[in-house]
Parts: sequence; structure tokens; C-alpha cells
Amino acid sequence: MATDIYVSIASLEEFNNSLMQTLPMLDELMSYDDNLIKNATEKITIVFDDYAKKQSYAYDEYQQALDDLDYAEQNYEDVSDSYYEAVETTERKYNYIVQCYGKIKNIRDTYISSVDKYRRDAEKESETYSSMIKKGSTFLERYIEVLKRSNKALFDNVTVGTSKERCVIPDINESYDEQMDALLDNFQERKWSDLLLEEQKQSITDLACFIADDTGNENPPEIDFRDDMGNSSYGGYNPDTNTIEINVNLLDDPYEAADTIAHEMWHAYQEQAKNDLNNPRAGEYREGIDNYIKPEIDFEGYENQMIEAEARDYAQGFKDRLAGLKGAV
Amino acid sequence: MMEKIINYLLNECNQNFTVASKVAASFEKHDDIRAELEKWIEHRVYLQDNPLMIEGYTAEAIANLAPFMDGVGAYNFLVTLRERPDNGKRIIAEGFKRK
Repeated sequence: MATDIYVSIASLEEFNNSLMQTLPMLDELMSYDDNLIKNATEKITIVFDDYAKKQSYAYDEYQQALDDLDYAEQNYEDVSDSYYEAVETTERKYNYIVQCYGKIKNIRDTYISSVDKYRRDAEKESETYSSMIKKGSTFLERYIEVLKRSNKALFDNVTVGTSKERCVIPDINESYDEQMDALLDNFQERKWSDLLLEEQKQSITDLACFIADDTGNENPPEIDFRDDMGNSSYGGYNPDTNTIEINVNLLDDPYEAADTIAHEMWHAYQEQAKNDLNNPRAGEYREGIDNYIKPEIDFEGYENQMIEAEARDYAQGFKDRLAGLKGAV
Repeated sequence: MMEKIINYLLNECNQNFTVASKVAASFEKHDDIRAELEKWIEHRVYLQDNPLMIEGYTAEAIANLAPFMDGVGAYNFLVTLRERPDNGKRIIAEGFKRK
């Protein structure tokens, strides 16, 4: 996730423009739909009117045949069979056309009713879409503005962490607790759900930087936000590349997000501490890491080993603090 | 008695001897689970004919719930379900959460 902020702004602006361009396209599509419906309605009306006329002619012919038969029966002794045949033929024809007319009428009525419903639904969806796009665009414009304003300040600060993610060193005048609370503020459920994914990532990165500072980690890991991890893997630390991987598909829960980054940052600390000759626990860390039990072969053993238990305990401190913030609101 | 499991962990899972011995030791008290695991190592398929079921789960069911797991992991989890069923069910309920 390369995040040069200038590139991000340009991408956001481009995205915003492309979003807005969909609105006239939508109008064009609706207008195209209108024309299609109008043409189809005209055609079906022509066929319907044609059958109405045919029905009327057939009725007239049938009535004429009946009148002719009536006249013949009154005036001739022997009425020719042709009169009866004419009545039968015109009656059959008339009945057939009445049936056709009924079917065409049903088709027309169903069509008109379906088109009305389609049209109402399409207009409703179109309005919803337009409204969402306009709101989204307004939000994006504000967000881009905030990014631009904070751009210089962001780059003037010390870069910590990775080539992929940057963060701001917490204000040294604030106390440890104040710094932690400020960083955890975004992880409160109400706020977290309002953050964009990029803002959530930034919050995680900022918290990672705080932890790097807290644990004295002189070589903070890169944070790689990935969307191709398994659905039960929240994150992981790779000591070979000094990289923390975070599963972006599991960032819905801010408690888990804060817990995961704190947990993985502690693994990064353990990796550094195992080689620190001044660290009294270096030997324990070396042994724990060298004989690390993977969840693939022993899940309970994986959970219970010291390396994992310690990372869970460390992360629990952040979750407890976050729960306290929630209680304070 | 555990050679087959230890060899599998050493050679195919790239574990060191300390880890392999520790993981294999889980099966020491459970001959039935060990025997079924050894069949899995031999054939790489989960037993279909009357497989062991512990707390309602077979090794194959565990492997389906946790697709990242190796056969050793699935059978090891049967040991967990037998020895500490509450903990095993908690892990299942949490979706085999890994960090």
C-alpha cells in the first residue's frame, strides 16, 4: 500500500471526478430508457388499435350475415345453405378476433403495469444513487481539503515505521496516558465506523508508532495491510522481513484492530529483545521464538506458549484502556 | 511409538526436534487418536469409516472449520476437545482466531 500523500490526493480527486461524471451518465441512461419505453408503448398501442378495428369489422360482418339470413328466411321458401354457412363463418371469425383482442389487451395492460413499476423503481433508485453520490462527493471534497491542509504538517514530522506507512510522533508534552487516549480515541466504536478505510489504517499506523516508542523498538516494522489473508487470521508478524501484516477484511471491530496491532507490535519487540544483550529476558525470547508452535500443528499449544500469552497480555492493556474511554463517554 | 509423527513434523512440517517432540507428546495418552493420525500421515485422507468423534467433532470436521490446519493440528485439536472440552469449544466459537 504505497501511500505518498500527493498521489493519494490526486487519486482521490480523480475518483471524485469520476464519481460525479456518473450523474450525467445516469440521466442519459434514464432518458434512453424513456425513449425505449415510449417506442415500445407506441408499437403495442398500434397493434392494439388494429385489433380493435378488426374486431369491429368482424362484428359488422357477422351482424350482416345474420340480417341476410333473417331476410332470406322471411322471403324465400328454400333458404340456401350458403346463408347458414356465412353466419357460421363470420361468427367463428368474430369469436377468434375477440379472443385475440382479449389476449392483446392483457399483454398491453401487463406491459403498461410492469413498465410503470419499473419506471417508479428506476426513478427511486436513481434518486437514491444521485443523493449518495452527491453526499459522497461533498465528503470527499472536504476530506481532500483536510488532506491538503495537513499535508505540509505531515511531511514536516518525523517519519517512523515503514516506507509504506508514515505517522506522527506523539506530542512529547503530553503524558503517556494522554497520548494513548488520544490515539485510542478513533478506535471507539462510534468513531471507528465513521472513518474511511484509509483513516482506519492511519489510526492503526499511529498506534503502532506509539507502541514502537513505548517499547523502545529502534527498528519498527513495516505495516502491510492485506486483503488476501485467511478469514480467521487478523494479523501476523514476519521477523524475516520485519513486517506486520494486517487483514483489512477484519477491521470492522475497532477492539480487534487495536488488539491486533498491539499484539503484533509486541511480537516485533520480542524479536528485537531476543538479540538485546542487555535485556534480561533475551534468552527466554530466543527459546520461545526458536521453538515457536504454529497453530497449524497445535492450536492450543500455539495459544498457550509464552510468546503468544505475553503478546495477548500486552494488547489487553490497550483494550482495557479503550473500554475505559468508552465508559467515560 | 511416536516416530511416525515426529518424523512427519521434522521432515514435512519443517519443525525442529524440540517442537516436534513436544507436539507429538500430546498424543501419548491417546492411542486411538494417535492411531488415526498415523493413518492420516500414511494416506493423507481423513478416516471415513467410523472416525473418532469427540464432543461431536471428527478430525475432518475440525479441518473443515480451520482449513489452515495440518492433519496433525486437526488430530491435536481432538486431544484438546477430549482433555479440555470447554477450551476447545471456546476456540471453535471464536473461529480459530489467529494473530
